[in-house]
Order: sequence, then structure tokens, then C-alpha cells
Amino acid sequence: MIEIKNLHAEVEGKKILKGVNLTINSGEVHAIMGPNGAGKSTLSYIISGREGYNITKGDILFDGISMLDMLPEERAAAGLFLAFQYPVEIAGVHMTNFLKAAVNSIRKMRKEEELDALSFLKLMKEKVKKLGVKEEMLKRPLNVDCSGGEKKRNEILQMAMLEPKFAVLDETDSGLDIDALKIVANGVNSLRSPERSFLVITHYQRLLDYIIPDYVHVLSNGKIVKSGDANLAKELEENGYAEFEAA
Amino acid sequence: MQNLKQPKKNKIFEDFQSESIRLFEKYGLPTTKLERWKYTKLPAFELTCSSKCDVSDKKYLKPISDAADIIKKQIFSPEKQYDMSLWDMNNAYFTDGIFLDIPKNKIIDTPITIKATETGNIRTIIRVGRNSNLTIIEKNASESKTIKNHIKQIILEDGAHLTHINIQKNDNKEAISLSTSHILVSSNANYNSVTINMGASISKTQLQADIEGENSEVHINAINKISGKQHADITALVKHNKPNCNSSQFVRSVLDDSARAVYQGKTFVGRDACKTNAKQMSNALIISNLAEMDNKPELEIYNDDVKCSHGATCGFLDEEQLFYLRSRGIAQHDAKLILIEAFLNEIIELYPENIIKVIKENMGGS
Amino acid sequence: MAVKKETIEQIEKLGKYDAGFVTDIESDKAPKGLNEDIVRFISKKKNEPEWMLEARLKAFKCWEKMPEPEWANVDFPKIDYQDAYYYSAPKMENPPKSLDEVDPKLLETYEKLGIPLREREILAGVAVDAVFDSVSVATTYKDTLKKAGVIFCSISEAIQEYPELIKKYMGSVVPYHDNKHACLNAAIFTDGSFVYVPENTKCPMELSTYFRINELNTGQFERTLIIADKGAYVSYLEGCTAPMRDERQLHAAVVELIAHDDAEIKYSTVQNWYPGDETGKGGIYNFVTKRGICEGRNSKISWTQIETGSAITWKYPSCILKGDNSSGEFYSVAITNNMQQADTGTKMIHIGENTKSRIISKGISAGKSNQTYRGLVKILPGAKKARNYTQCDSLLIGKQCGAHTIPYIENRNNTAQIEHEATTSKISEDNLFYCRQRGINEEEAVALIVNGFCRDVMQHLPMEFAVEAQSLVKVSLEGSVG
Repeated sequence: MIEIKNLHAEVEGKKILKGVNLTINSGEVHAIMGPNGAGKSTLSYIISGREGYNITKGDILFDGISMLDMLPEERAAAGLFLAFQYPVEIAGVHMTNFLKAAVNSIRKMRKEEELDALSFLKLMKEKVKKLGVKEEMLKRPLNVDCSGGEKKRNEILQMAMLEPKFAVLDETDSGLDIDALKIVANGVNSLRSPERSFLVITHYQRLLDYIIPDYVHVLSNGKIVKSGDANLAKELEENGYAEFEAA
Repeated sequence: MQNLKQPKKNKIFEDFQSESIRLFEKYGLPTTKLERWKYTKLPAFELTCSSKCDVSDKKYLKPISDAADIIKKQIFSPEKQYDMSLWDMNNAYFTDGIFLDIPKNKIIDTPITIKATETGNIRTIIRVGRNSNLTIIEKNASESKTIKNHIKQIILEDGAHLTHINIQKNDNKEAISLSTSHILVSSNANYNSVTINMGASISKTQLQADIEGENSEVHINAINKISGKQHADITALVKHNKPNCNSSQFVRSVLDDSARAVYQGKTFVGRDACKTNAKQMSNALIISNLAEMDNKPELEIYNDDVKCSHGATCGFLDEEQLFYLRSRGIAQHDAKLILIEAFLNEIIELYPENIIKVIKENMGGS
Repeated sequence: MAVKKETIEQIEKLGKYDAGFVTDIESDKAPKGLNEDIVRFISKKKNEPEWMLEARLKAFKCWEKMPEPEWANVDFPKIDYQDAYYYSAPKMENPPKSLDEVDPKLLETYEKLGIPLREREILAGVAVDAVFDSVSVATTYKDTLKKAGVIFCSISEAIQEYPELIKKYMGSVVPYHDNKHACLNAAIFTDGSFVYVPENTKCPMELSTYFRINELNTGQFERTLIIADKGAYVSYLEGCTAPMRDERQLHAAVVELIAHDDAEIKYSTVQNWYPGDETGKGGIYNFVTKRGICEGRNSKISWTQIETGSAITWKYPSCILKGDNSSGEFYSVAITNNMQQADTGTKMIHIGENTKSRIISKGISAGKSNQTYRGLVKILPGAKKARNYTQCDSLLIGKQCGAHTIPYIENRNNTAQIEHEATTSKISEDNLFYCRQRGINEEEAVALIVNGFCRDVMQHLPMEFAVEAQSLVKVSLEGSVG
């Protein structure tokens, strides 16, 4: 489903990614772990098409098609979702209106019929119930005055609404206590399906206790330096990243 | 006002001065029709004499004629030509002045004191050389009925730091104090000024800082502490012409009796001045029901990558704070003084200890 | 690349001002130019009583001597007052007695603009007065309103039917010599709306006037007068559009509001006059004097405006807070794009004790436009415990626009409390990217964020118009990103 081929990228002339290779098939959950500054967040931004990154070599294929020339919204319409490490606050824009704009915009790009207000609300209520999000959240301006946990739960709700084929979770566990972490992980797990794949980016192993990955990769100094199964994460927890940083 | 001294023409300025006399005679004193003078009305007066400041440290003084190029350069942005009349008057009639020229890489720890005490057109030029650092304490004081038209031209070269304390303490309640400063700021420079207006019947302090280099800072702070029929006006303009600079204008006024204070502040951000960070804030405490505060914090912005804010508040002492102090046994009068002092301290305490000491000594009373 | 394609589409869309069509209808015009005879002509056309003509002539004499206001931050060539028509009316044999007698072309015009005038098709609960060039062509729901005691008619009709009210109130808030534009209006106003809500009456529906300039080279000079008697309440909305033309057209209106004891007037404007094209050609000069007086105790006047149109806007809806405990509000969204210029804001004059005012202004500048917020808060010595809160925020989109904030705050009472806050910022890249990652394209994302930025103001619009205003935000910003 997604193929990252020999990806090299720079920010303001500084080389951040130095040849990343990664293939994720339908239904798989991959985790990328690594020390701070390894290029984990850069990778998530480049996949989703944020400006300001210079891709010097390589390609990203989504269902066999290169995404590099696509706008962020076109990538979203193709089925890509990024759960942000720091979801932004947008004053005055209510979560419900925002989600409706997003859902219908994507439907429009996919040449599907837009949802009317009623069917949208119905769909949203279903998802809200399933994920256990407080309905009161929907009436608030987007992420404004929300706790870290509430923001991350909003991200998962948005993911549920937009039903992506491929979701990137960028340090979703940062700033969460253990209870919030469980709720978010349960949300993600409920969205796992044979048609949907995930890339979970994290610094700590603890998130992977709740979202069990099929594969674990270590990203260090702009490259994937080791790959393995879920056990690799446990090893890292014990030994730290020291051996990779030295390398 | 009659002429105390006949102007002795300085040859270097001859042409320049005759043109200034022509302009001044054409336009006369500024009137309230000018936006910059909207809230301040000057009585008619004539001021054709010149006077000069005393400087505590004469080491860096040079003859005023050495600053001819600086003086002749028209740099103040007038709203209209006749807004320049204080400059024209000063240009026309000053015969001598101060040129304080600090060479590069001088860190001068002891503040230099400049005193202006006499009626007249006063001219002061200050140039702070590259990477030099200096504090100037300016005292504008007198016990008799003086009229001063003080024009200051200040140039900060790359990396220069100037802390500029202006204390206006003309005890005579009929004195008129007019101070107009133009400050040219180069890269990595820092101009930090505080003006304290306590005396005179009318004081008008105009400051314009042009930021012409990157990574510089300009801070223009002021305190108006006036009573009786005093009138104090702070009119400031900071022009951001280059990226990555910060500026602030903080003004606090305490007004008793039928005093009136004016703050007209403006931040200008030009097309090239991205990443500008600029703040303006004016807070006034009005003690008496006859006092008046007029605020005009203005923004003019032509760049979208900026953070600019301005604010103004105006009101009486906080009743709850007052009550709190009184409930702790402090008499009402003292409680008021404590709160006023605290209110003004928020500006004074932006400066280092030795400066705070000087300011407090001069402010007395509180 | 995709970006390029988007830009091309945006440029094509720029010419898309939905209300820019012309209605082909025969009209009855005064000769070109402005002089005393034109004033007499207008008065005669309206069959006005002598006192009205005298008032007009007095204003005209004053206007001739008055200087143009030059302090505003707008720049335009001097207006040639002699090169325009001051009266133009769709030809009608006699004034229509019912909608069936109104020219179908006119009804069609309003329908195209989304303002159907036939009552059965009308937005439920909104009565409309439709002004076409210089005359009011129809007023709906008149009878329903009459039953409640509310007078809602054209100002021409009011001069005939309610001369005592007109004599008492017209010019009482905006005197004819107030400023050059108001003075011109007092001399040559052609039509407008009149509302009187009697004591202790809540007006049973939203009132609304729809202004349309159709004729070439014609100015529109309407006059609106709204009186809410003791304990009355009324909510009023005006909308404006004009065809796309290369020539500049002048619109100099006057609106006066009077609120007596315990009365409340809510006045909303959605101003979408033709703004001119992207090079600044054509468009309306919108020079408007709007002022309300809170005459009585506990009265309230609230102005809400969404300003997206006009080449030049010069407008300061104000409140004179005379009655004790009275309050004034000003909620404004102004959007300028391309070459538009706007100098707008408000004045709050506190005279009575315990008077309150609140100003929320949101300015959005895009393209090469320039926008100024200009406001005055004045607390007079008698205004004990007066309160003002002002918040004015500016948003810049692009590198070539300008935003200016000029607040005048004059306080002469020590028990007054005044707070003023202002910020200038841009749409953050982070917010934009977040929206786009969720599938919302750049233009939609900007509209969404701008609508969020304006929310504090939008929520004060009557429900029926809030949706329209939101889509107007999007249309106004077309072509501003990318």
C-alpha cells in the first residue's frame, strides 16, 4: 500500500533523512522508534506533504502512485491521515463544522456525494458513541481549551470520521497519562482492519503495549537501522538507543 | 518671551539657518489641527535664543560644527511640512549645542549626566559607536519660568546600546518643555529610554525611532505623574523597516486635580520588516474627577509576518486592592500612595538597580 | 503543477461578483449634474410639502461651502459631482398599489439576488423594503406590521403620511451640517426606509431593506430613520448590491436611530456593493453616516456590520449614550481584497451615568487592499461609572496589503473604566496545514479560519443572515491565497 523508497530530505540545507526505505502492506501496523532528532516527525510531515522540506532523492508511493507532487488535501483525499503530535487550536471554528467541511471536501474530491447536515450528524454521533468522546467536545472551538488527552482523542475521532486507508500517528502518546493513553489506544485498535494500515511513531515503548505492532523499525540519524517484530520494542526499552546513536 | 541672547550665526549653518527661518516664519508654531498635536495646544510664544546643556563627562564632547552633516540631514517624518516647525525653530536659532561622540567598543559604566536648565533652543547630538554601551541621564529642570525647545538627534551604530533616562522636572508651573528626539537604530542595536514627566505646565515629548538594521530593539517607556493644571504629552513613533526587530512602548500615567495626559503612540511596520514583534500599552490612573487621559495607540502595518499588539486601560485605583490594604490597617491616604507607587514601579523596575535609585531620588514623594 | 492550475482558476473566478448583472428597465431620470434645480426636481417628483423642500435647500447651500473630509486613510481622485445623475426611478405610471402592479422585471431582479418580494415566497418572519436606485419599489408585510402598530414604509411615504414624526426626528441625530456626505444626503436623498415602533411593542418580525443601484452614473442617497419608543424592540437588516461597472458610483446614505427609555434597536448590515475589479477599476464609493442615540434610560443600540464590498468604504456607525444605563454595541467584520480601501470603525460617546459600550472589530486585509479601523471612545465628565471594552483584531493575508488601527480614547471621568485590546497577525502556517491534512483545500481552509476569526461578530447577526454572511466571507477572499 505504501512504499517509501530511498527517501532523502533536507530542511534549510540540513540533511534530515538520508535514505529511508519502508514498505507497509494493507492491514499492517508498523512502529517507528528512535531517539530525539532522528527525523521521526520530519518523516510524518513529508508523508503528509507539508511545505518547507526539500526532498532531494527518492519517492513515496501510495497504492503505486507517487505522492510527492500532491497537495496535502489531495493526499488526504487519497486516504492519508496524520494524527498530529501537537494538534493546533483554531479559535472560533467548532469541531462539528470543521469535521463536516473536511468530510465533504474529501467526498467532493473523490467525486462522491456530499453528506447533508442530517446524515453527517448521524454519522458523527455513531462514531462519538463508539469512541466514548464527550458530546460537549463537539461544540467547542477546535482544540481550544482542551487538555492534552482531549486533543489526542479529537485526533482519533477525526480519524474515525475520515476513514483513511493509511494513518500516521506522530508521537500520539506524548503528554498523555496512562488512562488517556489507554483510551486513545483503544480508539486506534477499534479502527484496525485488513484494509487499513498504520504507522505509529513513538519515542517510548509503552504505547506499543496497547497498540501491538506487526513490525518495529528503529530510525536513527535519518535512516532505518534495525527492523524486527514487537519484541524489538521491548529490547529498546531495556537497552535504550545508545547503540544506534553511536552508530 | 523676549530674546535673552541674539543668535550668533555659525558660518557652517548659515544657508541652512536662513532657510529654516523662512520656513518657521511661514508656518509658525504647531496647531491642534495637526494630528500629532491634536490634544496639545501651545500658547503663543517667541523663542529666538539658544541655550546649551551641561555634560558631566566632557571626555567625549566634540564641537557642534563636527556634527554638521547629522544636523543638516532631514530625517524626522513630518505629517505635513508645518509639523516640522519645532525643528525649523531650533535649526534657525540654535548657536551652540552638545555633540557627544562615543567611539566604538567603549563600555562606559558610569552614567553620563546631561542637564538642561535655561530657556532657549537646545540642540543635542549623541552618536554611540559600534558595540559601545552607555547610559545617559538627562535632567531637564529649572525653578524659573523657562521655555525649552530641545531637539535631540541620536545615532546608534551596529551593536550599540544606549539606555536613555529623561527626567523632566521643571518645578516652575508655568514652564514649557518641548523635547523632540530622532533616533536612528542600526543592526543589533538597543535603544532603551524612559521619560519621566513631573514638572512644567506643558510638556510635549516626541520620539521617533527609525529601525534601519536587523535584530535590533527599541523600548520607549514613559511615566506621567502630574497634578494641578499640568499637561503632559508623549507622542512616539517606532518605524520598523528591517526584519527581526522588537519594540515596545509602555506608558503609565497618574493624574490628579485637573491634569491632562496624552499618549499618542504609533508602530509602523514596513513591507520588509517581517518577524517584527511590537507592543504598545498605556495605563492610566485617574485620581481626581477633573483629570483627563487621551490615548491613541496606533498601528500601521504592511507586513503579514508580524506580531503586534496594543492596549490601553484607564480607570481609578482598584477598589478591592484599596480595601485589602485598609483592612490590614493602612490608612486610606497611605494605601493610595502604595498602590500608585506599585503602579509606577512596573515601569521603573524594568531598569537596573543604579538607575532605579536615580529615578526614585528624583521622583521624591513616592 | 497543481498550484499553478489553482492560481489560474482563481484568477478566472475573480470576475465573479454574483450580484453584478444589470436590469434592463426604462427609467425616469433627472438631468445630469447637481444644482438647486435638481434639489427642487427631486422634491417635486416626490410631491413633497414645502417644509421638506426648504430643509433640502438649506442643506444644499451648506453643502456647497463645506470642505471634503480628508482625514480618512483612503485615496481616490476628486469626485466630480456634476458628472452624475441624482435621481433615477424605474418608469411606473402610478405608484403600484400591490405587488401585482410592480414591473415583473423588478421582481425578477430581487429574486435573482435572493430577495423574493412575494410574501408567500418570502423568508418567514422578515419584512422587506426594496429600494431600486432612487425609489422604494415595494414594502412587504405592511399590513401585518400595521396590526401590531409598527410603521414600516418608504421615507417618501412617511413624509406624506407622518410629517410630525419626520419633522421631529429627521436630522435630530445626524444634523445636515454634520459632514459633507451627510449634508449632500440631506439635500438630495431620494428614498429609504422609515420605521416607528410604538411604546411597549416588540416588532413581530425582522425588518429589512434591500438597496440596489442599477442605473449607470447614478448615485444612491437613501435615508433611513428608525424610532423605537419607550420599551419597544426592533431588529433591522440592510443589504446592498450593485451591477459591475467600470465607472465609480457614489453612495452617500444617512441612517438615524432613536431609542427611548428601555427601548432596543438592533441594526445589521451586510454590505456587498460592487468592489471594483482586481485592478481597482469601477466600484462603489460607500460614504455613509450612521448614528444612533440612546435617548432614554436603559436603552440599547447595537450595530452589526459585515462589510465586504465597495471600492472605498468610509463609515463609522456610532452611538450617543445619553440616557443613564444605556448601552451601545458595535460588531464589525470588514474584508478588503484586491484594490479595495476601507476606513471604518465607530464612535461611542458616553454622556449618561453607568453607560456601557462594547466594540468588537475584526478586519481582514488581502490582495493589495488597505484597511483602517478608526474608533473614538469618549467619556464626558458626567458619565459616572461608564464602561468601555474594545477589541480590534486584524488579519493580513499576503504581502501587499496593509492594516491600520487608530483608536482615540478620551477619558474625562475618573470613575470610568476603559479597556482596549488589539492584535495584528496572519493566518498561521500550522493551522493552514492542519486543515489541509484533513482534506480541506487552501482556499476553503482560509475561509474556515477567517470565519472562525470573525465568529464573535457573526453570532450577533440575525439567524437568517448568518449563513449568507459566512459564504460572503469566502467569496470576498477568492483569489487572495496561493
